[in-house]
Amino acid sequence: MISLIKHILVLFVLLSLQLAVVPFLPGEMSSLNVILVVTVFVCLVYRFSLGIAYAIFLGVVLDLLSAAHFGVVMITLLMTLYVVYLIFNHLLTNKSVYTLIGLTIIASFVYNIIFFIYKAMMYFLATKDVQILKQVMSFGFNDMLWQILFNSLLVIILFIVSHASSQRFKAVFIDTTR
Amino acid sequence: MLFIRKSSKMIFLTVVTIFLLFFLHYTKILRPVENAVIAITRPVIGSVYRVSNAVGENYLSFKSKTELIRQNKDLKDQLTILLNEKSKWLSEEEENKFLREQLNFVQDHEYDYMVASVIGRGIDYSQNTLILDKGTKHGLEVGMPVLADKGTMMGKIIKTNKSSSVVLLINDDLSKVAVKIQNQSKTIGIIEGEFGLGIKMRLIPQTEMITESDIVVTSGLERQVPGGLIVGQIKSIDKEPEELFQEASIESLLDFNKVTLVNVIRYTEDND
Repeated sequence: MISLIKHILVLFVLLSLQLAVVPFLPGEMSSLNVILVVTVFVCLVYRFSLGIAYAIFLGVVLDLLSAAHFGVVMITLLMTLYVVYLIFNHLLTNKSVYTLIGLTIIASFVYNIIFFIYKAMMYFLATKDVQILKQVMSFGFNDMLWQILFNSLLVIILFIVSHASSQRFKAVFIDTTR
Repeated sequence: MLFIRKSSKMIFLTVVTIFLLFFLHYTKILRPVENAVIAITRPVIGSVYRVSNAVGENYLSFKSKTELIRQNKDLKDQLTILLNEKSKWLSEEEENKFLREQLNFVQDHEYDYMVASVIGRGIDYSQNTLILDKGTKHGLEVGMPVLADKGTMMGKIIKTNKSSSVVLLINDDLSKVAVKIQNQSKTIGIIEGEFGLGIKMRLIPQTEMITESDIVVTSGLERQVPGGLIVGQIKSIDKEPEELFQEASIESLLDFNKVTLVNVIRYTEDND
């Protein structure tokens, strides 16, 4: 029960951070995707199933509060997590801060690509203008680079905080920071 | 092998959950739960939004010296324009009336309106959206115009839930609003957003005489949007002789990031 309340609190904090705090961060920092970074982090460091549960709940709430069609955020998050998890299990051998950063970069890339496909489809259906897609792509690419940078910084902070505070975390990761 | 079996099971469970959620959402069986989730999250996110807005405004507005100098210059230019405008408007009764209408827009027109708080920004980067704390139970509908300070239009509602709604800002690419320019010939056109960065007015005939700093207002040609709502001011004009139409860049008087309270006008042509 206490554990459930703890998870609900974490989910509320994440939603508040993403919808109400991040938009006010200065400059390009507002492109940060806290929810993506935390779900990837939970999947890799704690339990994959817990990350999936987070993604489903957060995805549903964000879908309800977003202008996109129902399910878009949730499916994008879940697809990103599965891609990251497959890479993690099949291609990578050790767990380290570098793995975490690399996978966060891949996750940000995959997430943005899936969203871009949705966005391009919506814009094309609404405007029937091919030219607009090129412009959308150039703006989207710029945003994505910033998001990758800030997402990576956030995951490093999460790693440091968890590393310092949790004994369990130390056992899971081979410490390559020293 | 064990991983494949485990991950296949997980994928299967996830797909089933997604289908179930879709089914329950579109058959509206999940509606009470969705409304409850929004009702619980809304006050929390709304409170955090207000605090972050205040903190962001006071402490996080880092600006470089060059940016401040440029902004100062822009403000001085704007002040000169506004002073000229003011004296021009004050000297003519009709235009004076227009200003009065704009300043007390809602009260003057007795439109049925609803005050709503902004509780967040959309995460779906496809659109520049704001989340409001009022929805269908407060009488809000898709297409209704949303105003910020002094009757300045900031967008239209594109999605409604029972107790929340989503506003598409006028600077988004998918946003289209029928407008007219407050000049002699009341030139009409359409404004469209430019990737959240600016606003363009298109479909202005080449023969129309428009000037920088002209005020752009809604034309009233849309069913739910009354005429005369301020949209912005012409910043620059793009006129190519070989083109059929000319274009103008519009500068909104609003900072969309700092809006916390809005008015939603509940209007149909029949009300007028």
